[in-house]
Order: sequence, then C-alpha cells, then structure tokens
Amino acid sequence: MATCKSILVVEDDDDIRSNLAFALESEGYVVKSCSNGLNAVEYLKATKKEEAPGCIILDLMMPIMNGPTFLNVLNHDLKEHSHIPILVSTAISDNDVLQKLEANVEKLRKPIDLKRLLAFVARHCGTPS
Amino acid sequence: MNHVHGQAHAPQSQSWFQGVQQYFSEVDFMPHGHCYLWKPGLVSTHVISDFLIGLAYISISVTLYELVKKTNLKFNNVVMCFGVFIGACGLTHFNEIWNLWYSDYWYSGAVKVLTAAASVGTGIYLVKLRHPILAVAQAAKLSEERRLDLEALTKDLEQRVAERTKEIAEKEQALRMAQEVAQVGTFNWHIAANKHIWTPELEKLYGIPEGSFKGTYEEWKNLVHPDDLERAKNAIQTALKDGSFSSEWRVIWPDGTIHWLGARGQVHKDASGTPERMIGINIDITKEKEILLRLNNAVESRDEFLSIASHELKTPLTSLSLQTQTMKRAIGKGDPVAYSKPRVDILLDQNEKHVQRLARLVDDMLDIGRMRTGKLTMDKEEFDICELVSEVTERIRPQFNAAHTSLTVKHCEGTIGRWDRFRIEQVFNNLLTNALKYGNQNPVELEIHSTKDKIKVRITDRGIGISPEHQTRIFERFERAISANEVSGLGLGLFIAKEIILSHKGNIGVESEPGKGSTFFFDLPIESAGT
Repeated sequence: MATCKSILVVEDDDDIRSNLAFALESEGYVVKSCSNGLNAVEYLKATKKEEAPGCIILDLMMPIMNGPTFLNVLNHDLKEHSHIPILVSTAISDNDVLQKLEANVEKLRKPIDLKRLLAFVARHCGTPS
Repeated sequence: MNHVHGQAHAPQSQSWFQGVQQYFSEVDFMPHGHCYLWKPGLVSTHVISDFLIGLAYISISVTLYELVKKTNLKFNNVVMCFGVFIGACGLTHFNEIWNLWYSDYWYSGAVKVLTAAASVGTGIYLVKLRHPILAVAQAAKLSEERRLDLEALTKDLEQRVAERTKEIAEKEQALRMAQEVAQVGTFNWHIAANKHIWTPELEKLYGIPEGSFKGTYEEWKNLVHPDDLERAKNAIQTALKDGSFSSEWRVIWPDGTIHWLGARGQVHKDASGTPERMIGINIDITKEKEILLRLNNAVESRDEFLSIASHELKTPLTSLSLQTQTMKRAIGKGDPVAYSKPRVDILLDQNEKHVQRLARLVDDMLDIGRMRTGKLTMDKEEFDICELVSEVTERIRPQFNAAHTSLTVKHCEGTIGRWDRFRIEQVFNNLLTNALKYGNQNPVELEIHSTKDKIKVRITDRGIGISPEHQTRIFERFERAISANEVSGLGLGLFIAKEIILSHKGNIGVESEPGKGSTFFFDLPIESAGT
C-alpha cells in the first residue's frame, strides 16, 4: 500500500515533468506537479501537514525560483514540511553545487535512472498495490 | 783705438802730488783733434760713433744690472762682471770723445786698465764657469724635453678621459632609452639606510613626476594599492631570507588610474650574511593582466557554456530515456495501456520533438563554431517576409499557448526581398522564444514595417526587462542577462541572431526597462534579384 497522499514533482521542463508524472502514475502513485520552486512553495504553504506529499522530486536549474533556493525556503520558512524526503534530479555535473546541498537530500543525475527513482519513492511511500 | 804719442814723459823726480797733477794736466800732450787736423767731418764721425757706442755699452750694462736685481738667477756674479766690463768699455768711448779736445791720456789709460782688469776677470770667470753653465744648460734642455713629454702625456690622457666619458654617457643613454622603450624601472634599495634609489623610468611607472621620489619605504607603501600591499610586503620578507624577489602589485597613479607592476630583484648580502642591498626592476604588466583577465573570462564563459550545453542536451535525453524506461517497465509488467494507440501516438510525437530539439541544439553549437571561424555563409533567396512570419508564428504558437501567453502579429506588409530564409527564421525563432521565456506570460507583439530600402521588425514583451548594463552584453556569446540557474537555454540565441543580421548588413538592438519589458528590433536591407 502506498503510504503517501501524493508525490510532488518540481521540474521546469514540461516534457520531463509530464514523463515523470506518467511514470509514477503508471506505478499507481498520485502525482502533484509544479514548474518551479516558487509554485512548489505556494503549493506547500496551502497544504496542511497531514495532506503533504510523502516525498519531493526536485530539479535544480529552474526559472523564477531554483532548486537550492527552494530547499532554503523549505528549511527556514516551511518548517512543518521540512521533514519531507527530497530527491534532487539534476543535469548539473558541478560537484561544488551538489556538495553544498543539505546532507539529507538524495541526488540523482539526469538522464534519470527510473529504477533508482522508484526505489527512492518506494522507500518513503511504500509500493502501491 | 788710442794711438801712442811720442811726447809723453813722466819726470821721475816730481813728487806724487805733482804726478797726480800732471796726470790731469793737458800741458804736455796734444789733444787727438790735432791728429785729425780738426777736420770737421772726421772729428764729427768719431764723436758720433764713439758717443753711440758708449751709450750702447752703458745701456747694456744698466740693463744687465736691472736683470740681476729683478731675477735671482744662477751666474748673477758673472753677469755683474760682464756688466762692469761693458760699462767700462762704454766709458773708454766717452773718454775718446773727451780726448779729442783734452789730452787727459793718463786718465784714459787708467780707465782702460780698469776695463782690461774687468774684461780679463770676466773672461777667467767665464772659463771657470764653463762646466756649470753647460750642466745648467743641459739640465734646462732635459727639463724642457720632460715638460714636452708630460704635456703630450696629459693631452693624451685628457683625450682618453673625454672619449671614455662620451662612451659612458652614450651607454647610459642607450640603457635609459632601452629602459624607456621596455618600460623597465630599476630600483636599488640600501636596506640598512632605508634608502631607495629609483631611475626616472621607475618614477614614471608609478605615475609620479621625475625626481619627486624621496626614496623611503613609507613613500613606496603609499603608492601601492592597499589590497596588494600585504602580498608585496610578504614577497619582500621572503626575498630577504631566500635572496630572490618576485612579486606583482597594482599602483594607483595620482590621476586615479590603476596600473599593474611586475617586480623581480636580487638581495645582496654582506660577508656576515646580513642583507645589504636589494637591486631589481619593475615593469608595467597592465596589458598582460588585462589579457589574462580576458582569457580567464573566456575560459569561465566556455566552462559555463559547457555546463549549460550539457544541461540542455540532457533535458531532451532525460525525457527520451524516461519514456523508454517507462514503456519497457509497462511492457515488462504486461500493462495493456503501454500498447494502446493513444499512448503510442503521444510517445512518438514526444520522441520526435525531443530528437528535433537535440538536433537544433547541435545545430546551434555548430553555428557558433562556424561564426567563430567566419564560415557562416548566407544562402539568399527571394521571399515574402510576411509569409515567413506567419509560418514561424504558427509553428511556435503551441509553445505560447502552453505557457498561456498570447502572441500577436500587429502589422505586416508584404515585402519581398533576398535573404537567407532558414537563418531569418532562426532569428524570429530565437527572439520569440526569448520573449516567451522572459515575458512573464504577458502578451507578446510582433510588428513589421517596411520602408523603401529596408524592413524594420520589433518584437515586444512585457516581462522582466533588461537593465542597461546588460543590454550590450546579452548579444555576446554564452551571455545572458540573468544567471544560468534561472532559465534554461544555451545563451546563444541573441548572439546567433546578431551574427545573422550582421551578415545581412542589417542592425539589431534592444530597448528595455527592468520590470517593464523589452523590445528587440532589427532591420534588414531589401535586396531585389537585380541588386
């Protein structure tokens, strides 16, 4: 049984976002999508803790609000959601940027390995029937 | 000369007094004038010539006396003797005149005896002095020769000194010119005395007037840029230990400009190993520093480009890969949805789009390469710009719709010209994509006006806008007004657009105000088939 209400995908590229959503929905998860960090912050602000997504798949390079800024806002201004496990998916190959991210954040390089992504989701949200 | 007269007797019996009386008496003798029969011619001949001879003798004698009195020469005695002798000779001639009328022959004889004594004495004296005079003459000759030798030597030496001085001056001038040309300044630091000696060139490198540097360490410290002072001081400390000095720093000239100096030097130690002096040079390395900065910027831009390019390439690849993996997984599970026609159709459409996107990225990157080497060629054909605009807008409209952004072509008059259709399409695509990307979902407008010889295009968005300091930079390669983290894309769109417009001999630019939006405009000359 899936233990999560939903999974939040934050990704600016429309195709990647819809493909991720389709892949997760095909597994039986409920997916919420946002096209940048600010949208995600607004969505989380409007969401009660018990309705919060079970995990977040986060892109780093995004317009308006990028991934690192979103993580910062989440940890400082959205404390009721800051426990949510996060998987960072990125095309950035710059290790300096990756190392600056919080230690509790898991990282996945693009192109995304679907098996690893599903394993992360299953670890935090269980497997839907 | 005097002739002897037969009548002259001296009576033996007479007293001494009578003798003397007789001596001056003219009684017994006849004056010489009688011998000349008082012929006036003869008498006057004797008188005149004796007078002149006597006068000459006396004058010689007086002159010799004067000479002896004024100089302190050797052999003054013999000169004096000679003087007396000559003087006496003179006197005998005056006596001759006297004797023409008066027969004082005893007196004349006595004067002659005196003259004889003086002449014999002088003669003997002179003979005796023969050797010393010879020696003195030789010594004088030798001394004169030496004097001449010395004079020649001095002259030679003076010439050599002059030549050497000239040579040194020329060398110094050459060195100074070399330093000037090379913009090298030399310093000589006497460490214990804290005295810095600078060449005028070094003062020039610090931008201060020639001769104004007083030579203290504190003065130098005040000339160096405060941010570089610590580094320079550390280099000096290291040099005092290790012996060789190498550093670089900025100096602020009195006019406020900043110049980079490179320094090299060598420390000289005394016998006990204590640093005594540091000698070295400074050179202006401002140009090199600027080149280095530009190079570093270029490398940074390239690195950033590579990172952006890899991000851009990975985005369609990620979609393709996700689709493939999802499909494979669904097929593996035997999920019938995976095979459904609607699903497969979506998948194929998306795949096609990703492949096109990849191809476009690769094209852009190749174009950049071509532009860099000047190999971007325009393949011109005749077409209607408005037709092209409607094609482009129709093709891009789905993207605008997906982003809930309206795109209006406000005005377009059919204008036919000769341009590279594919490249002009690229320009429209790039500018419209930017308007969509930075337009904050506000309406985007496209206008085209044509004049007699050119078309003018304006694409206006009401988005984030561009601050004035970025308005030129955005047309450069790999540049964008905002950080790469914010917006995807290679940062090549405007650069490529600019290169294409310039290749058509057109102009491109931007008017923008941050927060209010931007208008990108370009114009293209209209070329007909005939031109």
